Amino acid sequence: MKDNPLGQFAIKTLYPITLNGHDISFTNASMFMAIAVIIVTSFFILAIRKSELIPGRFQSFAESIYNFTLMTLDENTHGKGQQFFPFIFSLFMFIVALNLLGNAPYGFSVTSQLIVTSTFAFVVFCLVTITGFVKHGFKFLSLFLPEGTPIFMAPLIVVLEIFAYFVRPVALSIRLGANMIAGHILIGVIVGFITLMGIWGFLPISFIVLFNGFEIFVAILQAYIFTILTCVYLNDAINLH
Amino acid sequence: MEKLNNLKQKISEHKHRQESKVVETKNKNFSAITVSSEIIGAVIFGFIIGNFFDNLFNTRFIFKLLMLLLAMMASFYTIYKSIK
Repeated sequence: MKDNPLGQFAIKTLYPITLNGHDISFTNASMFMAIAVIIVTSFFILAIRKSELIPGRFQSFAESIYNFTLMTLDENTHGKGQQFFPFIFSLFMFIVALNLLGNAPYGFSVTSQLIVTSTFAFVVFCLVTITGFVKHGFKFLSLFLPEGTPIFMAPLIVVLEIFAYFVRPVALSIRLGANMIAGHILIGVIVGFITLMGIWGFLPISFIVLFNGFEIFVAILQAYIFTILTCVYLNDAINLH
Repeated sequence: MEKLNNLKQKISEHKHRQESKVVETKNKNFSAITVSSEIIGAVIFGFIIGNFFDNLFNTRFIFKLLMLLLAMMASFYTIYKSIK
């Protein structure tokens, strides 16, 4: 990392697998995704294993995450999106775990791979579009013509709305990926200053310690933003305008 | 009794209106935070689509130009909507 701040994002094959000529190897990214799933699942199993009416600290923490996600979904879909709660909760917990694992020592930031964030965003986009058509049929297309649009402006507004709709998954994936990449590159660059600054090397180290705290905040915030935007898009599909 | 019921209904309607206002404000704040990535996303999407059509119709840059223009308009439109 000292020589190349981008080296930390390299995908390394741990267990080569080929299927019909396609490379589906088990990589460091796959390993960290599996670790994230194990951590989140174990956390909730342990938290609710001995669930009591008056919760302990562990159970209370797990319940507060659950309630927080449910409240976010309810606020944004006006209480009509509860059937999507398992998806939203899993998405939030998975992204939080992946982002935080990226900050752990010897960790790998899976969410800094745009292909991963694009896949998340594409799944959300498909879910929103399918939900819209299932709930409203072709009336869902009225999403592209906001109420009160003057008739002479309608063709332009429809084109812009359709364009903005397709931009959503791109923006969603870039937002998460870019934020994770930026923080990790900055830390990688500053690590290079430690040896260069000689006796003053403690200054970049102190900055890295502080910045790591900020990165933990960013990791949770970005997962929250991804989740809340998913809820906002779901609201468009459920309640239209 | 009827007056009391009316009052109760009015209070609950007012509460509901206040709650929706809070949610709307929250959503608007989030739109403002995320506007920068909307612009970047729009430009990237515009370039990809433009490049696809340029390759399809063997044109040099006309579709890239058109789509980038549309991307800029769409992103400004998104900003306008979030400010509004």
